[in-house]
Amino acid sequence: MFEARLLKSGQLKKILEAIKELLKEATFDCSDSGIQLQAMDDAHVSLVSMCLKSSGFDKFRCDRNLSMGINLESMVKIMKCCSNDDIMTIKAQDNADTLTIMFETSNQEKMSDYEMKLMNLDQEHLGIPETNYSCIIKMPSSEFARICRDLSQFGESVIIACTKDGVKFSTSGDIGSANIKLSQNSSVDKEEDGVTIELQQAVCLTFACRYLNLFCKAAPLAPQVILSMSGDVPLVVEYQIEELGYIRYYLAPKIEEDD
Amino acid sequence: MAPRSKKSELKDATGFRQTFDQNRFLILPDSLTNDQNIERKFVKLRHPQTSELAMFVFSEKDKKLAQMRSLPFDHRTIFKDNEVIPIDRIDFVTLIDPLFIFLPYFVKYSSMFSPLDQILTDEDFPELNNLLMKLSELSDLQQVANKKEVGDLILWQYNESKTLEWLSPKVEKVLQVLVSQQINVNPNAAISSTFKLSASSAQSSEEQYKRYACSIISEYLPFEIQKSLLIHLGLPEKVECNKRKADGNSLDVNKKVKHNSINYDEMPNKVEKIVAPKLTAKDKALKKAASGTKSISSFFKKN
Repeated sequence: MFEARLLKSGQLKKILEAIKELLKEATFDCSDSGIQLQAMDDAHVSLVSMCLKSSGFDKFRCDRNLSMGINLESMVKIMKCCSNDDIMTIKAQDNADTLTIMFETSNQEKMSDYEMKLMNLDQEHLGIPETNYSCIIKMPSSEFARICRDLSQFGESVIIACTKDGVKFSTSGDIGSANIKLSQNSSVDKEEDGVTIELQQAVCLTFACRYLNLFCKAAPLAPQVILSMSGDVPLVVEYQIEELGYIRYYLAPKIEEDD
Repeated sequence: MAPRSKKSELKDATGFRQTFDQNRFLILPDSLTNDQNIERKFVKLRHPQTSELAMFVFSEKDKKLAQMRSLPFDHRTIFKDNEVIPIDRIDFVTLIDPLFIFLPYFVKYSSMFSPLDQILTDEDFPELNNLLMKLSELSDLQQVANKKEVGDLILWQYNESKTLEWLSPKVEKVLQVLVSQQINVNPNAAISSTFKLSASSAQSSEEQYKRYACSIISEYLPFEIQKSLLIHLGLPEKVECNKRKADGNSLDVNKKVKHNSINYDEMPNKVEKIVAPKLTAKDKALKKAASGTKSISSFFKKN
């Protein structure tokens, strides 16, 4: 049997919000180390990889490895029934075809439980090779979200160019072009508020802006976002979820146009 | 439908008869029998409505094509002089314009100008090709198609409005005959031809006559042209059930109709609804955004 208790149901709510627009359904793989999820979007250009460590839960029990096919839209509906600081418990029997989700208020006065049907999904796991990225950019997640939002008004694709001076996001479209340049700044109080760049080699890649915007839905989960890039490999957008784990988004670069 | 056409066909046909081993009785028009020396052949061609093979009579010298409609006529006999001859079948042979035969072929090639020998080819029955080309000399193709001369080539393209113009007078002619012969065209009931109603209730509307005439002509037309013809003549698509209810009062005499007439021609019209997968605007936008991006699975190996 599988049982996981999370003190702040709001966290899972945010996680689902962060992936539900990319994925309609996904398989949650539960083992005694935690819950993992890996899935591609319908167009197969991006990949979501999520890991929630068992240690991040208040209580975690998983007797047998379990794969649960979940319709994320339904799950979001259930999560809307709780408030952010409710305590949540997820339960499933081995080989069960339903998942039980329970919410209790912190003063134990209200208890509610929901049962959701599970699905049989074809799962296709991809092996993600260890990569030494040429540059790793750390920046505030809200800043990244703001940049993506601003640039999406101008064009469909964003060019991210990282040099030793800083990182430049640029785009162009019908109305004109836009460039946003960030330089390293370490003179801030908190490490997560600054922009840091670890650079081995300058990189310049083009990505679909709409996807970046969808990745930014994870911004409420972490104050800092980590972008890792190397020439001709997918971009990694990583959000560290405090104590619980991480969400990583992989996005394939756009093919260079010849003209 | 066959009995209805019998009447008009008998009118202009003289009793030329011939017995086959099958005891068939053929009624031919004068024009086909005047000259006994001319060779006539029975040929099979695609019927323009059903596109199945049907029997036709072709006389190359006369430049005439006639169709055969047979009627099973079991256990009957006729007298010929002092002889009694049994017959099993009556065949009515009537002249037909080869253009009707060509129509389905033209419609098929309607997208562009093509040479005639390309249009009049039958993929399933290549043996018909020669015959079709011969027949094409008998009629004026310009009545249903546009002609274009490019160098030595003569190209043709089907023209629907021309075809409809060509068909309309035909419907009009049939209509005249129906009216003058006072043929019952009430769609809801069959009436014995010897049964005479009082003048007021027997009158059918102009539209019913027109529709009936159209349906007779439509027996020689592919389905698409039938529909276009109805529209061209200003006849709305038939809604049979409602019509009967709406006209119920004026058709008291025919109220006890026991069988509904099913218009088989309209059957293929009913297309099952295809349920398209739900795709929201967001999904579409995302799909568009993804174009131009490499597939992620080209970077990561499948486990």
